[in-house]
Amino acid sequence: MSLIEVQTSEIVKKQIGYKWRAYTGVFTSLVVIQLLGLLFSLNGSGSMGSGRTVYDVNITYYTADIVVGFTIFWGFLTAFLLTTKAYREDDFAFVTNRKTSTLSTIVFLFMICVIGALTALLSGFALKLIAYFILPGEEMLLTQGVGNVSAWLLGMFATIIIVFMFSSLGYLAGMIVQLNKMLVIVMPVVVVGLMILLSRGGFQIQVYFFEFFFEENNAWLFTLKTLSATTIFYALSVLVSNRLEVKQ
Amino acid sequence: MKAIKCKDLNKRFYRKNALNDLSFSIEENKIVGVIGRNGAGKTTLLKIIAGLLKEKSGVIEVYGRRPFNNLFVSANTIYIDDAMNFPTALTLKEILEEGKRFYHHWDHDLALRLFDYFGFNPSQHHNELSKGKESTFNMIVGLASRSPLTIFDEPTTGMDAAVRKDFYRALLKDYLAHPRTILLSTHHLEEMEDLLEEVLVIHEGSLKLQMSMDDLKEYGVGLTGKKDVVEPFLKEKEILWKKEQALDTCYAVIKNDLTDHEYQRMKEAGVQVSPVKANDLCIYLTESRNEKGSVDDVFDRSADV
Repeated sequence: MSLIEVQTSEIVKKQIGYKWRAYTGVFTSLVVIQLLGLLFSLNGSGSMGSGRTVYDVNITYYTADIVVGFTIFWGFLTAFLLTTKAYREDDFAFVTNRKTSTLSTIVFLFMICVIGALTALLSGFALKLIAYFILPGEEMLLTQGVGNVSAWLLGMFATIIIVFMFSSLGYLAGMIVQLNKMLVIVMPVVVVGLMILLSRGGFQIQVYFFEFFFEENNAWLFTLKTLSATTIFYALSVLVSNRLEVKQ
Repeated sequence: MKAIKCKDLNKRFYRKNALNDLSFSIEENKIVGVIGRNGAGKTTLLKIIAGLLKEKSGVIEVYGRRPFNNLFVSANTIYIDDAMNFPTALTLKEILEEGKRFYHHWDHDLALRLFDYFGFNPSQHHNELSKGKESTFNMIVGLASRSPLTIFDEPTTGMDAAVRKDFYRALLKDYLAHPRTILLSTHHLEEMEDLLEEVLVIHEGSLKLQMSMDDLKEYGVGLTGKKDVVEPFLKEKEILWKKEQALDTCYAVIKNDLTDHEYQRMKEAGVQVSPVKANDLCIYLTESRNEKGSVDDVFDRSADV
């Protein structure tokens, strides 16, 4: 048999296709988690009311916020799961090395994050429909359409990169845990412990984290911050994964 | 070019040395058996060759490149063991199709014909298979991939005798039509004698023996007779194994370098000279050197109490 020279790009492409077909389980979990999100959203994500002697006004907002939140969580968890041994060994059933395996996983994660973000945002419309037809009440529903298309697209883009960023965080956490099983316990303890310690010292890291990413009003800056964080997390996980052996 | 070159290879797991200064090389296009007791380091060695594990020190080269994390080696190697992990979402047929996409030499026609012959259901999933069926399926993947270096780590686990026989025939036929380097680790040497060209015997992480199968079959010779008669012949000989039997007789295995003269003398003294099967020889060679004796002694001792 003659020896074959293969290109990294060729194998990455094949691996992406392979993962797309093999990891269909991630879509099942996406559907389940978004349906759950929808269910919880039926309570409305915000409401206000005011009353006069003659009439009562009660406004409930139905938005996809909860679904988006759940999707972010799903992105984190899916990426985390893809680093576990069973999935990594699936990679190595066929031709690959660390680099192609990680690269294809990142591309695959990006693809599913786009899908997850898209369905999460679209579920906002579904929610309004459900609320309109199903929810009881002396309703005078004010449904707002897409409104400003460009604003909606911007929101779409922001959701994608946020979900993608959290997937990179999950991927990094997963890779670190794979180094040593003890880290499953040690890592959360250290992270949460540090947060508590810092907040006692008056520095609330979680608040700072949310301000840093979510309260950025400039779209360009927001993109820059999110994408750089994503890149850093993935780069770190590549460094960590290079120390891993495949089968033991 | 050598298919595999290995020099002073070491591998350590947390507390235990799995491989100790292992050195050998394997020519291209041979079927080589890797023989050794449980825990001798066969699997570790094969995984290092396949690039799945990282060596601690020493040199390991597959087609001139270091296998760990190497795309070239991965593309030209397939490693099949009894714990293959295929995605649970894919059916057996889809797994074969993935194999076709990844391996350039993949013979899909052969894969499908074997698949039919062994009676697999295309819509079954890999994790639903029985032990023997799973091994059979993995074997099909290994054969169909036609990788220049094909590694089977105990491929026959769980297969019944008929399937094992089919497997040996399929392997040999495909090898003759498409010569490639095949590494097999096995505990069924007696069944594979006609298949293997060369044998690596590994004992406690080091190389005990590397020779062609034909040489191995004639490597040792067994002497049986009264202890005091056999004993003088054993002097100046390399004793590979010795066991004392009832009624003052003993059985000794020595290297087969007897001259006609010695042979004649033994015959006259009433020593039975018999050939030693390759499988038995490997067991003798890999007997642990401590004082534990055979499993019989475990029971004898308890009988004394």
